[in-house]
Formats: sequence, C-alpha cells, structure tokens
Amino acid sequence: MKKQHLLLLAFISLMAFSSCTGNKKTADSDVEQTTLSVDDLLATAEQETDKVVEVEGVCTHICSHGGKKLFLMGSDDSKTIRVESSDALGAFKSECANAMVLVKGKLKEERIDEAYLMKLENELAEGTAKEHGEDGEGCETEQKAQGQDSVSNEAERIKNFRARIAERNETEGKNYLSFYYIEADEYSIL
Amino acid sequence: MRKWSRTIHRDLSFFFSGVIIIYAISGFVLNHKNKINPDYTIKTFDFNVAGNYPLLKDDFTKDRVLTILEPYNESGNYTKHYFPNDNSMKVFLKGGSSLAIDLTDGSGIYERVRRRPIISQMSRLHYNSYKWWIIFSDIFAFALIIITLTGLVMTRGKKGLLGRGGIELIIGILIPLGFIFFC
Repeated sequence: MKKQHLLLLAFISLMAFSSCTGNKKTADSDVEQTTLSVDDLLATAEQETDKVVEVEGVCTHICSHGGKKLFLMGSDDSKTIRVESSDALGAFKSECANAMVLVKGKLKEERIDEAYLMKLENELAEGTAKEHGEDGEGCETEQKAQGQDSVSNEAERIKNFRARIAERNETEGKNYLSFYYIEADEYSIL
Repeated sequence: MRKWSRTIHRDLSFFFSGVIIIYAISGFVLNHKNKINPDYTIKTFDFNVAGNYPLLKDDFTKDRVLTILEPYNESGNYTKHYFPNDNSMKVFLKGGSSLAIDLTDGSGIYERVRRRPIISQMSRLHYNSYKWWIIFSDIFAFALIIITLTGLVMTRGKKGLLGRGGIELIIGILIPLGFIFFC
C-alpha cells in the first residue's frame, strides 16, 4: 500500500514536470501580426511602445543567471534589443543562443534621466548597485545595445549618458534617453 | 514520536533523494562556475583564410562562409554573418558556436560550443526556471526542514541529540555562524 503511495507521488511530480514544458514557446496566434526586424522595430519603437510586437533576430546572448533575458541582434550589434521572459514563460531555452529567434511580446520603454543617474551614483557610492550578468558578457551586450561599447567603467558610463541626455534635450527637447525592451509572451527558434 | 519521526524521515528521504543529489551536484558546479561552465564545453580551433590581405568584406558571401564552415561540419548550422567592424567578421551558428575572422591577416578562430549533458539540466533546475519546479522545490525546501527535525529526534541515547548528535549539531551551526560574523 505504501509502495503505491510513493509511486503515486512520483507520478504527480512527473506530471508537474511535463506540464511545465507546455507553457513554453507557442507560435499560434489569433491575430495576424507583422513580423519586424530588430532594425525596423527600433526605428519605430516610440510609436510601438506598450503595444504587442513580433520581432525576429539573432539571439547573441542569453543571461547566464536564470536565462530569463536574451538579446536579439538586427543588422549589426548596435541594433540590439533586450527581451525579458515572464515568470509564466520561464527561462529561455539555451538552444536560442546564436539562432534566429522570433519573439512576440509587449514593447516597453526604459527611460534614463538625471534622477536615474543620481540614484545610480548613490548606489555605486554605497556599493549597493545591482550587478548585471555574471561574467560581464551580459553587461557588454547591453552596453553595446545602449551605444556604450567604448566606455570602460561606471563613471564613464554615467558621464556618457549625461552628455547624450544634454544633446537630446538640445535637439529634441527631451531630457532623458529612451531604451526599449520586450516583455516576451511567446518565442520560437526559427 | 520517535517511531513517527523515523517513518517520516525515511519516506521523505527516499522520495527527495534524487532532488538532493541534483541540488548537491549542481550546487558544487555553480560554486566553481569560474572554472567549470555548467552549461557548455567550449573548444577553440585556429585556422587561416588564404587570400590577398586585407580581405574584403564583399568577398564573404554566404556561400563562401558556408565553405569555411564545412571542415567543422557547421555549414548546416549557419545563422548569420556580419562585420562588427572594418577588420573582422563574425558568424553565428545554431547551437551557440561561432566563428570569427580577422580580415587584416585572415586569421580565424572557430569556437565550438557543445551542451554539457546532465549537469546543464541540473543547473537549470537549480536556478528555478520553471513555474512548476518552483512549487516542487518549495515543497522540497519544507520537506528538508521536516527531514532535519525528524532526523534530530529519531535517535536516542549516546548517539542522539543529548549525546554525540547534539555536539555535532552545535558544531554544524557554529560553522555558518562563524562565516556570517567573521567573514
């Protein structure tokens, strides 16, 4: 009798495991969506913010801690967008690395302004700044995506942001920088 | 009380022994992740592309890149190639491998990435990637407490909590406390 209970428990855990693979990458969609390249998406990002988009690109990096972030590259590494997985979607499959990946999800805007930079400076001074990635590669990919591949430390990074904010304020009247990322609902490896 | 503890301790230990081993192995590998990549084995191969240097970007058509990949059996894994700058070309290959060529002298590096079997899956579980795994590992976490508590009380006498077991318990608690307060 006890043996049967144990077998039942093992069966339940197996079922739980198999069901978790079911919430990954579905390609079906009720509404037909135009698939954009990363270049096209970034070019129209301001208009597409908070809308559901479908984009394809080469996955150049998956965050090694947890695998819940990846980067899609367009024509070159200056055209890169970060994709974040939801809890429901779980970690991105490692097979995504260096493959063409199609992602569907909501485009979000991340703003970097003076308040953000002051907070970052305080955190760096206190040693509480959030570390990105484990081996620096994630950071490197994101820095390239933010047009900061030439800066080598946080102080230079902040200085670079300030200079670009001032430039944008002068040309567009906006005292912040906009970076975009996708909150993925679905993805598939092409 | 001891009889129940023994039964619960035994059954939970049997049931969760597989998970304990997974966490132990993946925990060890993650502790040494600077030396052991839990997900992949990476090997690099040097080669040279013949031609007039510096090589021209326009010469690297998809067909030529596929020819370069052939000796490594990677032509079927071609995803895309691009030029990160004027002096280099990079090829992305499905499976995580890549190839880079220095256009100034034709020197190239093929980086072969292969998924490490079993350990990569274990470390993936360790990171709690799946929703249902999080639920299961939460249950496991509470079960570990129960296994510990029942283990503490199930043996009596000189080897139990009031004897050798108690001393081992205190030493086992003092070690992490030492790290917390002195490291």
